[in-house]
Amino acid sequence: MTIRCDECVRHEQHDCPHLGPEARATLERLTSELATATRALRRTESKLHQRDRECKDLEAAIVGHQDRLGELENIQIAGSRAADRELEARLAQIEQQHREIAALSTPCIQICDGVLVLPLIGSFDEVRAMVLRDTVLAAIPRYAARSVILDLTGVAHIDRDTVGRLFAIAAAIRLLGAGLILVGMSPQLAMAIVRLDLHMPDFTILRDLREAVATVLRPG
Amino acid sequence: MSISHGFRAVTVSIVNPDPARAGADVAEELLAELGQAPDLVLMFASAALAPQEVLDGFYSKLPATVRLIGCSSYAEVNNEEALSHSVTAMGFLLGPVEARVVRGEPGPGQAVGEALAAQLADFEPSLLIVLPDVLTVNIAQLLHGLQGKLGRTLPIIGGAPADMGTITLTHQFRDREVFPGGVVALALRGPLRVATAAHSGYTQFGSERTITRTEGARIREIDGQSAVAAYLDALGPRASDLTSARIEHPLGIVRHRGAERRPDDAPLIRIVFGVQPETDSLVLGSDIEEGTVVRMTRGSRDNLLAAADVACSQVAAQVAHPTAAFVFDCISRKVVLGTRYKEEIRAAFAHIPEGVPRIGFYTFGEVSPVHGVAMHHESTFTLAFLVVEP
Repeated sequence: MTIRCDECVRHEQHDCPHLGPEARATLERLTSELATATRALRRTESKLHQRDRECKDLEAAIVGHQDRLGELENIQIAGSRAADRELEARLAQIEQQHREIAALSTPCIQICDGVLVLPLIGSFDEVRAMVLRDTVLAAIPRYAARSVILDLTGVAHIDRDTVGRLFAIAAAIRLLGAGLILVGMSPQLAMAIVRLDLHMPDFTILRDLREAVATVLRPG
Repeated sequence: MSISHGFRAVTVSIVNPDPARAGADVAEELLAELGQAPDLVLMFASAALAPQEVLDGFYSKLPATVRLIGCSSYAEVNNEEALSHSVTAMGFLLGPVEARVVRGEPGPGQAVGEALAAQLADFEPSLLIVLPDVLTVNIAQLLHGLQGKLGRTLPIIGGAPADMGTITLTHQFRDREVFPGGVVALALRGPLRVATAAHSGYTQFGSERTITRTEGARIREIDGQSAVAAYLDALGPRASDLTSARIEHPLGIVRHRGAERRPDDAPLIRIVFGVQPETDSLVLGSDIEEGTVVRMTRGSRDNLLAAADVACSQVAAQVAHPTAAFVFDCISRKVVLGTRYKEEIRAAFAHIPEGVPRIGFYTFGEVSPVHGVAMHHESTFTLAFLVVEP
């Protein structure tokens, strides 16, 4: 490599007397450093492009994940709504079944003209009370009933609410012009009525169903 | 850089959206690393870059005497990591090793393999690195053709060129030329040997099904029923997204017709490259015989990572001081691993001694020996150590 100063280049002088021997070493060092710097620049530029690409890939992945998350949320919402609808339908079905069971366990039997017997079995909750009320209040005009016998022999549990419901039904029966006879009252039920100190509607209490039937069938 | 008895290898990568600039910068980097022009270059260039521009840029900085073999890739592997959108190249000063680059046109795999072998008949290679386009060449047949002429136990490694995941068009490079389809191969001979391993990590599920009618690489019937219907039925709800499902749920070959499998053999994996209801066929990348028993597979991230680790352990156990390392890793694994794909390469690199140059790419299929005989794999992690001996 020939090293010349500007003046020697201008005068096309090949051997430059102005630059010392250290000039060549300096030039070689600078050339080497330039090559190193160029390479570092090239690698840095490549790394920047690489990071830029990775950022774009990550952004695409994030968008993909967000889309997927959105899809999953929609699926969850749709699933939740479907589950709610199914639950509501199941509850309505259960309630209906409960009412049907209650109706089946609250039979209303016409034993002779004008006399209805309603045997109660099991617990006497609010639903069964409603069923009993609806059943008996519909049956009285339908059968022109003058007497209703309510058999409590099979009632398992009695409390203030139960007694209150019974008395309300008794009052309604009386308002429809029928007489009410309660039979099968257990000692526990009798004690509960006394303890509760409730106002008793106007009805007859007899020991059992046979006595009640005999009473209503007795002439006069 | 690796120097072994005059054989030297270095790997460089450049990421630049300008393909000519990327090619030129790779050439400059190789010159700087080697201190001279390489004898031979193995190059994997992102399919996102125009391939001819990459090569034109590359040869603008290097003489035409530099031999080059390479292909398009889905993502690349260099000395440090897996990366995408790069041009990654390994430059060689061959020293005592001799090299020959050959090419085969697209065509029937067996004939292409035999044609390649004919070009190497007088060369007697010690190792063959093949880059066959799975879309135009049947790789299993290609290997049969090569092995029939060059010997069944010739070490053959490589990977099928890829595109950016559309599975439509790949490119192969030979010197300054770019080819859409066919195969390029690098034959090496000299004082060298290789150690290889291949593992997929895909887990089989579902019952065993027997392929009852095929046409080459097309499966027409499975257990006497429509192959398409059977495949879609096996995928279940995933069939609604076939593009992802056929990559994430390839077929696992449990055993070939009448063949016994060794207890420790992992299933060969086959991606369903095409589902064609109009021809009622599943299209694979290789021939499949009637009577082959298959099961569905699925890839979990942890299993895939573990499989790559096993493959690397096996190779490292065979060779303690490799001269260079080659990774051919299936695109499907990158898809399944998602953002964790770099973990696989990191785990693999833990088994490669520091300073050993390494190169690889994400492929549409892999070639690696199993029990000493090169086979076509898919969805598999393969690693090869090259040793140049005194």
